Amino acid sequence: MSKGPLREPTFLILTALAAGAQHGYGIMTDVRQISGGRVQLRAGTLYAALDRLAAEGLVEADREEIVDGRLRRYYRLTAAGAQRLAAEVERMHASAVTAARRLKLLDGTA
Amino acid sequence: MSGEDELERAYRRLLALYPAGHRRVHEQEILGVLMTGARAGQRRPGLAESVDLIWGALLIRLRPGRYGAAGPEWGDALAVVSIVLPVFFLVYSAAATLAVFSGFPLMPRALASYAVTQLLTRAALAALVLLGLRRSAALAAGALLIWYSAAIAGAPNWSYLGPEVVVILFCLVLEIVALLASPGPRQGLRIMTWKHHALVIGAAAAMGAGAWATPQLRESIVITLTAITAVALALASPLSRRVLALLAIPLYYWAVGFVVPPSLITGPGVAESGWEGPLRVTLTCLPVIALLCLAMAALLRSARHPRRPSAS
Repeated sequence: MSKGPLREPTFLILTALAAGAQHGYGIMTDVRQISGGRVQLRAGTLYAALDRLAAEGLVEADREEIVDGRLRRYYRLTAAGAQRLAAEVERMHASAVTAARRLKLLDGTA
Repeated sequence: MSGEDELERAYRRLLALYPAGHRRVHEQEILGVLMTGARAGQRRPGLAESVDLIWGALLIRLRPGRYGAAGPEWGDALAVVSIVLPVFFLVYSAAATLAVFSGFPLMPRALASYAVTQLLTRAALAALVLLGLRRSAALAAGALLIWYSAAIAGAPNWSYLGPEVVVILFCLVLEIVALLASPGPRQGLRIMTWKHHALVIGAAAAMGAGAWATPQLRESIVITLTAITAVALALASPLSRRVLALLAIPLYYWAVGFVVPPSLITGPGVAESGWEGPLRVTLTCLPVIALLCLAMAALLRSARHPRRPSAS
């Protein structure tokens, strides 16, 4: 498993699943919302990413439903996925704090 | 047929590009996502959507191990190939350039400049691969592929497209696939011992240095070394046989380029007709046609595989 920084779509997919299990279309709409409309995942990209994340043990299938005759499969974060996301958040936070300090945006830290 | 049915059929055609194993698990689900996201009255997938699905299918097919596109053993073979090709062409090119420079110290400036540029680009690609920078190396190989293709497209006569040029083009495509579909060049470096490196470097140097020799001697050197390498790969281990299978098409063109007498390929009087020899065209296109037939057969077999929605 890669330990480098997560790419943005991967980060957003894991973030979408951090709130609970979601199906494919739910992840797509959630990612659009989280990114303020900037990142719009399409099905091909989403399922290629889910396939990779499942192979890395970061996400797994949760349950299935049939809605209007269509199959919906829900995905959830695994413990390893939550850990990886937490590590990424920590890394991004540390970088953001450093940047803010250097810009003297944080009180008492300049 | 309603617009919705038409759209669903079009999506299914695109999803047929995915590996059968992936489709068995995910086709119904992806179809559901696509149909949910479709605009009212939409009858065909949009261009961006189609490109995205094709790209997704390619990514999943190239990913080693998961859906049988390339198992771990083939992944290792591809990792070895990703090292062998750039190292071979760098050493071959360096040896040939040195040999030609020593034979023709007053080489025309343009020709010398082209030889040096070619050598430097190959050195850059080999360096990226040996440093284990998989994506950068794949991008560099892609840039080289475009550069060579542009040179061929700009050539005054397509007779330039001989087997030797096809070897380079095919090897660059193979290099990109090997870099993207394998566990990466670092894995190749872990697998290869100093003896493997010595074999590749030695064979490439000897073949390249043959540029100083007479054409007949050079042909003998290249053919003998290619045959020895192929036999050694066939006998050494299951992994080396997979490497040989991956290199079969470049080796074929390599052999055609050196074994088949040019007179047989071009033929007297054929050049005037604007058609550079039926044998040349046949020999050049044969593996590509065979490869396309194999790909089509695999795709058809994959598309006919029974579908059933099931949990992963």
